[in-house]
Amino acid sequence: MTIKCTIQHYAFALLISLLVGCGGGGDSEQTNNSNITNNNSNQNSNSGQDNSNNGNSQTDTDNSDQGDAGQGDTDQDNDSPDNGTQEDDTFASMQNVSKFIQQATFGATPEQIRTLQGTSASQWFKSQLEVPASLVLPAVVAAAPDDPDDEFNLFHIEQTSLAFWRNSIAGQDQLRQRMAFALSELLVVSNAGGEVLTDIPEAVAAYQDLLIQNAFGNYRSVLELVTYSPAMGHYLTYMGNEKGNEQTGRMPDENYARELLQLFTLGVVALNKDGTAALNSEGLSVELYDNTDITGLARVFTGLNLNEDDPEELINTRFTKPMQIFPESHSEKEKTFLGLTIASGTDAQSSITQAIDHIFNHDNLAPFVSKQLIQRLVTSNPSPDYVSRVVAAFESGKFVLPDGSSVGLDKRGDLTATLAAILFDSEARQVASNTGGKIREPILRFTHWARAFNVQNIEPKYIPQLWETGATADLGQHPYRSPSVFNYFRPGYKAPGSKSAEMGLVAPELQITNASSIPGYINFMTYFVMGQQQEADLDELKEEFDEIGVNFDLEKALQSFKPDYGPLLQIAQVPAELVSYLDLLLCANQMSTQTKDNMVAALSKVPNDDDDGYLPRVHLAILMVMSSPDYIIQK
Amino acid sequence: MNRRKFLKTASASVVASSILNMGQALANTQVAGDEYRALVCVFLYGGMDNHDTIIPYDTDSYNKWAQIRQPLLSQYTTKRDLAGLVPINTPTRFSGRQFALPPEMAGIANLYQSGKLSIIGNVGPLLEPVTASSIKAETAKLPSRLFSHNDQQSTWMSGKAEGAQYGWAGRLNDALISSGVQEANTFSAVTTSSAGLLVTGTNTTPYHVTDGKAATIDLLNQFAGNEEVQAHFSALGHQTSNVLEQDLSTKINQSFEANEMYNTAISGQTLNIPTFPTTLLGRQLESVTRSIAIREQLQTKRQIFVVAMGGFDTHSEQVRSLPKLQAALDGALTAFNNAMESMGLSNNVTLFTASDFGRTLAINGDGTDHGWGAHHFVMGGAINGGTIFGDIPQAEFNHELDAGSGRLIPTMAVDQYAASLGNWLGLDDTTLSSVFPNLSKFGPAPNLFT
Repeated sequence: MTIKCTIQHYAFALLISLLVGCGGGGDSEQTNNSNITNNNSNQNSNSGQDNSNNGNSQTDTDNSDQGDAGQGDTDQDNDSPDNGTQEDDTFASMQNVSKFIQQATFGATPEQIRTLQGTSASQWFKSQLEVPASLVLPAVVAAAPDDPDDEFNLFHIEQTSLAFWRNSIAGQDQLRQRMAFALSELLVVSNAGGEVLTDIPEAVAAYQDLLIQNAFGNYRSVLELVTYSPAMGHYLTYMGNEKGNEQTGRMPDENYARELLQLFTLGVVALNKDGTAALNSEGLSVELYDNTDITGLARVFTGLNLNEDDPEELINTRFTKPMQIFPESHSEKEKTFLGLTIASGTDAQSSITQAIDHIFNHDNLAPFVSKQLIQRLVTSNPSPDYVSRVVAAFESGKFVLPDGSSVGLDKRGDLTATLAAILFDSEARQVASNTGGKIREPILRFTHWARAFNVQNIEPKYIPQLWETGATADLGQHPYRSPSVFNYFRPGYKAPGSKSAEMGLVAPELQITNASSIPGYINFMTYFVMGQQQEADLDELKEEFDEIGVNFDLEKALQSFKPDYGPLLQIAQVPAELVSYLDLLLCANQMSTQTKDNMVAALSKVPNDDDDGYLPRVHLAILMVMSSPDYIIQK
Repeated sequence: MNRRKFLKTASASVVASSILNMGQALANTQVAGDEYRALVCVFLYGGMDNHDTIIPYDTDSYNKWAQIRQPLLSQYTTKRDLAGLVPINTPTRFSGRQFALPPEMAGIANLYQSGKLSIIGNVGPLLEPVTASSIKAETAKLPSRLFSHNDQQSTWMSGKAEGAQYGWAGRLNDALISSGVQEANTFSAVTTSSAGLLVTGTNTTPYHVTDGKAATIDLLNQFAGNEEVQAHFSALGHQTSNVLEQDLSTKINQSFEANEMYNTAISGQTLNIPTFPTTLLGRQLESVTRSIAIREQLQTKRQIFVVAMGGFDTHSEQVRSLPKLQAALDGALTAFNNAMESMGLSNNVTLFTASDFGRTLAINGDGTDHGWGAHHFVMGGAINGGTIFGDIPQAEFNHELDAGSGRLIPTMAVDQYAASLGNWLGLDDTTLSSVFPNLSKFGPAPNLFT
């Protein structure tokens, strides 16, 4: 536990130093000057979050034995020495800052809105590339029971979730964490099964770190690392996959071959560069492959299994290393798929390399991946032009930021260039059109709250609700715990009977929005917003901790996830001010007059309480905003 | 790629064209009066292994099957040998072939034997009857995106790949409304899962219920007198030009109102529901039972429910996972049958299963891969019980119903299966033909009901 706490405190220290470092304006201690707008400091453009002098950065490659992981960011400053010669007005207003940061991170803080206004967004983006990665595996390892044969230890198992909440809320590497989460919804593994991937949390933790470390890397590397990762190998059942046997009729497992093509790289039908379906002469979409391609590709993914180099090694550790090739289990046959034939007798490593290269260079890859990343970060229904622009960045591996400097390593599949192209595109920056925007995922709504109200003492271990948030009575979504490889919602989901569907638009997150999950989310948020954790009866939780043998600090437990409503209480006397503060902070001023007026009327009826002052009003205001369609649609 | 290798080899052995002898024409089982009727779909996500559910039992067929499945069979803790399987009566048209269910499905076998349940063999999505030869010759018109989970789930529910708007059960309910069998009702389509597509129509929107009660917003009690608060949380009259925001506020509003209505209906009702297993499926079917129990308060004459369980995608460790799933299915179906009988509603409620697809007969080491046609169950007092509709092709490779590795080419279309269920709900042939435009391409729908 000591190790974990140290890490946490380290993270806090960094966070605080960042806030101090970047604050042109007011003091970065909890400022008493509550209204974001009032604290509009006289920024000059060089006062942004310039932590590029963060020299001690333990770059992500350091603790990685996984090929060229993360090279994108370490080389970044060598590659583009120019700090930009043009003016970047992306952060011209606080509204613009709020909107951008909500797309690029796990939520905007009041400090960010205040201090980033007037600074260079390009600079912010580049400085984020340099922030050391906050990882998951160290927390999991630190929480491993002393005796490896120790039975089911929930505290160990749930570290994947606890570290996710800490990193997403308090991690300084917000852009990286957000991109990794987006990738995790495309390249899905899940520990929902209650079996191996649950019992051995190191597996999913290493996978989370793989995505975190390569969030700014290259999609080609990601595909290779994913292919060799034990978490994916187990999840899509090709770990231990044997070559076929004609005598017995045994065939190689087709699971990974199919989902690699369908979900991770190409989709099912031919796409144009703008992400729309390419049609044949009859006006019909064209299916890219059939089952012969799948059975051909399935042969490639035979002969991989857990690393056995060190016979003494714990299975938990093996699950953190790339899978090992066992040549005798690899198919010697010809492997034919998508027009490529890998010659018979080709070994496993070479077959995998050829197969991934072939898939990576397919015309569908860039539009398929780019469009889904846009959907995760900005809008469910990007225009074809927007997709084309991002595809261009994905393919060229380069993107010129508004300040004139460029990011990316000029190689196809560069995720830094892709991410920049998504966030800085005019369609992302302008007020969304009537068909724009997306539903904020429940996980993001919760982290937005935690960040917007400077939640202190982020000790999710003391919050059983956060150990599992997947039920519809909670968030209806949990990180890395999707019910299947198809994620919680599909990028192509059209909500039956809806107006969007009638217009041919998709609404992925509506797939988990229903009569149970809508109230469930509000109730979940009520618990946190009202600080019910601070009043909870924790005896039962303490018992559980005692049983596992983990130190229980009651004071910390009661203070965990404590929000700071100081700034809101200061303005709560005037409901309209409260509403407009929240509108900027959470909605980037996208709240409609109708909603605001109704809220003001509602809040005016909540009086100053003898005991709690305006706290009940503040609670209600936050809950009203965060349950409003104005907020839930990020636009 | 073309379909050259879609089939491993052509084969001379032709399975009898069973499409012709599938059953009689749809009997007119339309009901008069106000009798309540409900369909309950149990969707088995992942693709249940048909070859390990309806198992050949006569010695010849069993041996063929056992030889192919040997590496799996040797690992089952509950043996799937002739002594361990649960045999069921087989119709004479199978010419001496016999079938059994796995040991974990003894309850379902018992329901079959007592005439409460029947088997639908080799059903799956089809646009027209096809065979291995017609696929090989590339003359076959095939459903798109075969063997893909999400697309075949969608195709089972709607006839179309992912992105489809309306499911066939939703369209059946639309037809029930337009033909005057019942009025539009918020609770005519209920889901406990995310499988809402099946029960979505132009006038039919699925209502989501969890654990037998409607979810409520706790906060609202605290601000009971504050009408702006109430209006806000129900998204009442929310105005916006953004399309997604319109859809979301509609959903919030509909959900809010439906939850209130449901809780009003259920309040003050003491329900004596028999015990259900605490499995995911058991709890969902208990929810369905609770909803059915308040059918009069909800004022529904026809209801269609969808429940779901996952985990059937047994690419790996099938011997460990499949028996558990089958036992869970067995326990939940048995409990549901008991509940309907004890409520005197056995004749009014029909349960049926569906799944993404069947699986390969060939194994991949320790599991099986995606298939196409599969065998399913219908259950209830109204059905023609204790028999098998459609085909159970032999457990062998390279025949006219083998799409490769023993993936069965369906001989009964989902449309036929669904039309029979729709007929029972009270829709006539003309209406059913408009709901299922491809129906005429196939033989008559099976007459699942007495």
